[in-house]
Amino acid sequence: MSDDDSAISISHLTVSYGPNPVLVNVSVEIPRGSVVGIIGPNGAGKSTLIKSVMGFVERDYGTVSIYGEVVEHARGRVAYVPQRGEIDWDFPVTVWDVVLMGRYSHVPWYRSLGARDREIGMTSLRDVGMDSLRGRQIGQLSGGQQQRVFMARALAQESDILLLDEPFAGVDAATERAIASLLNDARNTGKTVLVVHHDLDTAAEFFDRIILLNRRIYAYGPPEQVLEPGLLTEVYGGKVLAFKGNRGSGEAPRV
Amino acid sequence: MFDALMEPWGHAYFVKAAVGGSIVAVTCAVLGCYIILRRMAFIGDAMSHALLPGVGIGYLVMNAVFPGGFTAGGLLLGALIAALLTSVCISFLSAVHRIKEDSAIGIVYTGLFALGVVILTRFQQHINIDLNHFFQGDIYGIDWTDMWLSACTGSLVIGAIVVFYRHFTIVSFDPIMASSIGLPARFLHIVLTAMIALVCVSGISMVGVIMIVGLLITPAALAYLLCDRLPAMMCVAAAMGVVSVIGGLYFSEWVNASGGGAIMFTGFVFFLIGLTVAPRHGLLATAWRRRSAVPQVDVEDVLKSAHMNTTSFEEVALPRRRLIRTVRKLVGEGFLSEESVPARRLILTERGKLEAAHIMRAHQLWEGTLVRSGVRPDEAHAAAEKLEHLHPREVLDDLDDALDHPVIDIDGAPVPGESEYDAEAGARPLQLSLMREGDRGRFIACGNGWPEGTGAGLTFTVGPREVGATAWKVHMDDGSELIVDHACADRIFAEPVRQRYRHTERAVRYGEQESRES
Repeated sequence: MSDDDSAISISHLTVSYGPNPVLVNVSVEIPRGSVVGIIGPNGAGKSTLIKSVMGFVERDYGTVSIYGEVVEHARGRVAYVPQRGEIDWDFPVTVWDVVLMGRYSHVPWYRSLGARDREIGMTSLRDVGMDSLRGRQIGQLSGGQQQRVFMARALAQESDILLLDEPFAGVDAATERAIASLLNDARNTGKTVLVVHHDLDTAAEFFDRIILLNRRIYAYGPPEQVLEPGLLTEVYGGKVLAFKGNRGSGEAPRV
Repeated sequence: MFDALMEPWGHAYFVKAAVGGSIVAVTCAVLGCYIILRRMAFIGDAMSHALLPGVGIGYLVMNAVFPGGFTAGGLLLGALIAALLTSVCISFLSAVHRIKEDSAIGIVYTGLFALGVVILTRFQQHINIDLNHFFQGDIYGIDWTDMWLSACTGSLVIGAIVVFYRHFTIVSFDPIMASSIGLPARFLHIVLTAMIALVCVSGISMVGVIMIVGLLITPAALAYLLCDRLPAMMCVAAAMGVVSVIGGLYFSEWVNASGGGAIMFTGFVFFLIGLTVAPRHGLLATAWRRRSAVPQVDVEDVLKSAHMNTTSFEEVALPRRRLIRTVRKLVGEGFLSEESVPARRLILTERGKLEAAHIMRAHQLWEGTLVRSGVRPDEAHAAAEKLEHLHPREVLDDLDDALDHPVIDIDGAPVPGESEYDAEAGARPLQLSLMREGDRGRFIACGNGWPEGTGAGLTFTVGPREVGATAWKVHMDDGSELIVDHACADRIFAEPVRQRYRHTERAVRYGEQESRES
């Protein structure tokens, strides 16, 4: 059922932690070169969806394939930017060490990293504006800088598919710009990007398509179709009051 | 003195103990780095005790198969099996609802240890393992078998860590990424567990079961306080391990105490010293940092003084040393010019002026809000001195709106506009109601359709407030005039047009600031 244009194709995916189902019968085709946002309330299974694309969670049922291959055989084609809370920031690694981790999958175990790997690492750091801080231990960075380091690591992986888990959560303006331009670059170079996102107000401006998720998929399509007040109220319950609709009507447009 | 130090090296038993102990200590220390980073310390402790039944059964089996010799292999194999069994049992029990992982560890290791005690005492006449020895070890009594055993396990463990350094590190640091690039996270965890078991077996006969855990954890924990990179941490941990062993052996010679105990106690003392004096994470460093930290309140008070032209150091109401410290910090952050210290007065930079105006505005708006709620002006002033330190932009914009965007405060002094202060967001659109006389801007959006004569893209200059400061007058560039009320001014968004230094650069600098403070 996966068509040839899909970068990621998920069908009937069902995942549960213990007795509680987290994802139920999720089917979705992510086309190549698209930037797709996943939105939904807390506990909707957004991160689980991303982790199953990396083959990190055990599936009860269903398949996940990447470029037509089962996820277990497609290792290394996917780069991942974790949620900030999942990282031990006291771990004794520097910015440079973390970025080089992006090259690990390209180097067999019996060889050490080469000059080309270093070069790619350096370029990635420059792309996110963090090259001057590469000797810092990661705990000594600001939240936005930490986010950018992991983005550089994902860039260094040179994967066709990028997965980002809540990249915009609690970052400064400079980082927000860096992430937005990364999404743009990825779109322009034909990469496929899947982003877990929590802010309904900004969802429309970042993504080509949006998945509205709460254990199952409520809607999937272009933002104007998904960010529909009736639908959002159904998924979020009454908590969606803060959503002001598409920007530009009563809200300040972004510069 | 020198002779006294060299004297023990003349005895073969001392040299053997030093060499054997160092091999074990180095292996333990390097492996220990991963153990503490993966938070496996308690599991390591559990595993070392749970080895006992494995060692006992291994000994019995080997003795039955090869009577009278070659028991070392049996001990190792038995220990490995026991270690894996321990970790399997622990993860099985932890998966049971209502049994937390620490309870599971406690149950499993005491249970297996008890089994070991039963086996050892039941087959006392067949097994040449002394329980006391299992606890304390006997570093002066090590023989060549022990030496070879520890050398082999040591080179195996350290070799594996060197060759698969990248794998172990990424699995410990970011298991999700490790699995996404196809590394066998579970298998690597089992390998680490097996290595702990091997190291324990090779070291137990020297320092005993409890102290081997100390050798695994203490030097690595000390190195963690001193180092920011894993390879450095491993080297420092190894060095600390060797220093503890040699120092401990001297100590045991001088006070005539058990070698294992003396070694671990020395290691503990070194740890305490390191904990106190470690340059960044140590107790003294932390205390010093806390003492010399400049409170944000001082920073903001100094900025406000500068804003109110109270600039000479003598006039600022802050004890001299605190003032100097605050000024240094502000100079470092680019809010005060470097001239400030030699000139002994506060000289604001452009950035400093923005920040100072923001604090001032916070004070005035809080004061105005309090007065409006009926607080006496002098009390309001005192309270605003505290409240002014609460100044996120959104909060101030709200207060400002509720006060109908005052242009002068209750004492008649001008309230600085918000338009100047946008360090976080760069040049972001402003409501017309927040702009001040003389500001230039370009309309970009309006809530409910544009008032007559305006529209997106048109540029304008803000004129003086009219009708007791409740109406906003705007001079359009085409010569027409526009007067709107508060509600309408709130709905109109404009982008400030002015020559300012590049906001992007500024936002990036702010980002760096943040990290320097943390």
